Amino acid sequence: MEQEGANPSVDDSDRDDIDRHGGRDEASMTPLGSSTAWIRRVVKVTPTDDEEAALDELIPRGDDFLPYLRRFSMLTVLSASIAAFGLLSDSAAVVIGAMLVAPLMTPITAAAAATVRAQNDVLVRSILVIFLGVVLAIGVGVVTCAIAGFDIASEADLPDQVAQRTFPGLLDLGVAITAGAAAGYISTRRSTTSALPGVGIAVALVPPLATVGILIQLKLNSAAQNAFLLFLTNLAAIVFAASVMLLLSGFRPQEERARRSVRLRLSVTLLAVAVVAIPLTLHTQATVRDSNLRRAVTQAVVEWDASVRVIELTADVVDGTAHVELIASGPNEVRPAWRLADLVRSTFGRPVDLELRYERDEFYAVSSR
Amino acid sequence: MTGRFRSAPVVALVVGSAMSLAGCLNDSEIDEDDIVVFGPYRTVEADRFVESLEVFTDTTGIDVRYTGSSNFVSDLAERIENNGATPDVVVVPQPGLVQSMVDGGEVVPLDAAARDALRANYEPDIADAAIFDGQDSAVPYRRSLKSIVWFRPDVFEAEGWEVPRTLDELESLAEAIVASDRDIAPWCFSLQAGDQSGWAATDWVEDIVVRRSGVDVYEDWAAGRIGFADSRIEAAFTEFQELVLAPGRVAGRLTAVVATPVELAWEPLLATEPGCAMYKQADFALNWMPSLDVGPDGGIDWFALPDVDESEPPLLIGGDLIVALDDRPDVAELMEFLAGVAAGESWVEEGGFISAKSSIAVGAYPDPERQFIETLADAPAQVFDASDQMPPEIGSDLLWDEITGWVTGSSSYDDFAETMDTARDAHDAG
Repeated sequence: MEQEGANPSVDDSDRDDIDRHGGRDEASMTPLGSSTAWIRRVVKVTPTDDEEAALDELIPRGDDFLPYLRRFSMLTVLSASIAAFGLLSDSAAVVIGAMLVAPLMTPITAAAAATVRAQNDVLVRSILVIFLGVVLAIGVGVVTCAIAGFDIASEADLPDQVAQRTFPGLLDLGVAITAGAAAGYISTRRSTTSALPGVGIAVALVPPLATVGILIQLKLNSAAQNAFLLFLTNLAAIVFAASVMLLLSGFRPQEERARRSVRLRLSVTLLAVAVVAIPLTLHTQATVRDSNLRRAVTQAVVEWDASVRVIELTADVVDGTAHVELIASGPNEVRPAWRLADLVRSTFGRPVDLELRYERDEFYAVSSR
Repeated sequence: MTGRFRSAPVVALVVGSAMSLAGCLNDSEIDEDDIVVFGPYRTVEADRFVESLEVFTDTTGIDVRYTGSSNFVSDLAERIENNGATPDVVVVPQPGLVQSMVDGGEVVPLDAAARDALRANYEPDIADAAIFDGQDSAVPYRRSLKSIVWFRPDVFEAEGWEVPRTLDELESLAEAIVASDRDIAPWCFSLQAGDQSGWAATDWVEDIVVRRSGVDVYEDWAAGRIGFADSRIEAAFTEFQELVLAPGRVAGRLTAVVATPVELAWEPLLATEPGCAMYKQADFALNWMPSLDVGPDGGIDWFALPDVDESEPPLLIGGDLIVALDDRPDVAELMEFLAGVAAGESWVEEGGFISAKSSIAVGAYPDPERQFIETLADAPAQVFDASDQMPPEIGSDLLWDEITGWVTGSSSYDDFAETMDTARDAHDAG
């Protein structure tokens, strides 16, 4: 509806033009092509010159490119520094501030636009700028962590702001896809740029990279890989979703031959999303499984001894076996722990290794005068 | 409209994943006809034990449910007293506890088929160890070599330390380690094992008793004919105290001895910067440690605790017996399987396990278990863990508690010995 409103002059001749631009061809090819062609017929849009220009301006050409690159580098270093300090001090507000300074969304949106418009030179330039941003942000994370002298005894001691970026799931993919669509929508409409900061916050790009740097410095390589997966998720999903949004907004390659390659280009971005979705699905499965285990333990504790309170519960499923560490307290003598383990196993349906620490509630009332 | 279409694949992906997850769970329904087995094996050992029973389930269709507890002895007593919770089959590391259960009429003797399998697969002396009150009552399942000292060959080589050939050389080595520039204690040791805390200390003392005083004194002590007040037994406790527990001798000091779970006592040994040079624990400690190559060029190596002279030392062994507490035909079938050659084979292949059966060829074992078996075969004598031979209320209950008190210094040796001997006398008189 908004797209129709933005282009009230679209008429039947435009629709024919859209069809000539490949809509019917795509419809006869793949489900993706079929869907996009159908939606395009419904939304009936053609980008204006101003909208085309807005995309052209994302990454400057010629003499303006080097000054842009300097600005981009400076802002990336600054935002990554802010992010790294915010992550290390576990401050969500500071990390959000870093997202507002971060300039990475622009080259990523430019890459999406170049994908849709088949501008290979712009695509290569965008990818190089993104690569530069990635290297700078990770490097700043490493250096900041080293300068701050930050160290931890184990992964469990990581600040929450860092830890929550080391296990991305499908919800993160959902955020990235919708934020990418928003980025694609906003990028051509100068009147909506006020929404850009919201997109930047929703799909944090620099904080995951600063997290990668911090974790590399702490030699937590597995966690660093996961944080980088979060960045790749955002990158792939934004390029894909923004590309689709731009396509739906009517953007096409100028040349007839290049138009035919759009499907292939979109398929590549979709494939990238599918590839990152595999580990994200596994992560989400693990999260759901751990959540089910925690519920099973809580239920089993009530059945074991209803008067017992759970003080601390750590539950994890590793290689099909549930590992449960439980600290509990109660007013009675502890009931046999084997019974609790059997109850958890029955409820959860998998082998269980249980470590229980039980504290007896003891109450003292004293008057001293 | 269009927004709904675009988000559909993501929603489908999330919902699909969640649904496939729900389908993955609940893969092991529990049946009342399952055979319930209870024992001391936990974590990796529990996995290995259960895997070794898969052949039985595959061939008979009878499911077995195993639970293992660190508080095995007290938990078993509670289960037997608690109507409806008595397990069908129990894995018992203490022959004294089996005797007690036989005396209480709880053990179901082996049937003819299991007895035949027992005679066919075990050396006569091992099979005879399963006879209680004249009846074949148990299936010997596992044998363990307890007189093992684990060490890091790289650390010994770097420091120029030699494997000691006598107990006195071991003491000299401990002194050299304390005196070295390296911030390292001679020993890793801990005894925390829930209400079974203390058994690791009894193993140490038993190894010293048999070396310093000989097999006869050892057996008399285990049988209660010699008390804890005997000077030879006291000397062994004193030697253990001076060798292992004295200040500077143990990693993490007495705090770690009391607080660290016995399964984790090895951790300082394998740390990047090792906190201890040696760790005395049975062969099954390999199940507790990370997977390592064992040998002179490996991450870890071992030697048998030396004798007083350079001769082959007598060895302290332990063993697990399996008894049936239910007379269902399914349970008898399981006991026959356990006495047969197939039981334990998969665990033998995995390592960290020595079967009590002689029908499993030495060649079937990986190293270092093969070396352990050869060492056992060469030993001039093997003595069974004394505390495990004692009646459970003495060896598995009082002794473990009292030795823990003595280790922490909360009781003197005289008080400790008097408590032990008084209880033993009362038990034997009763």
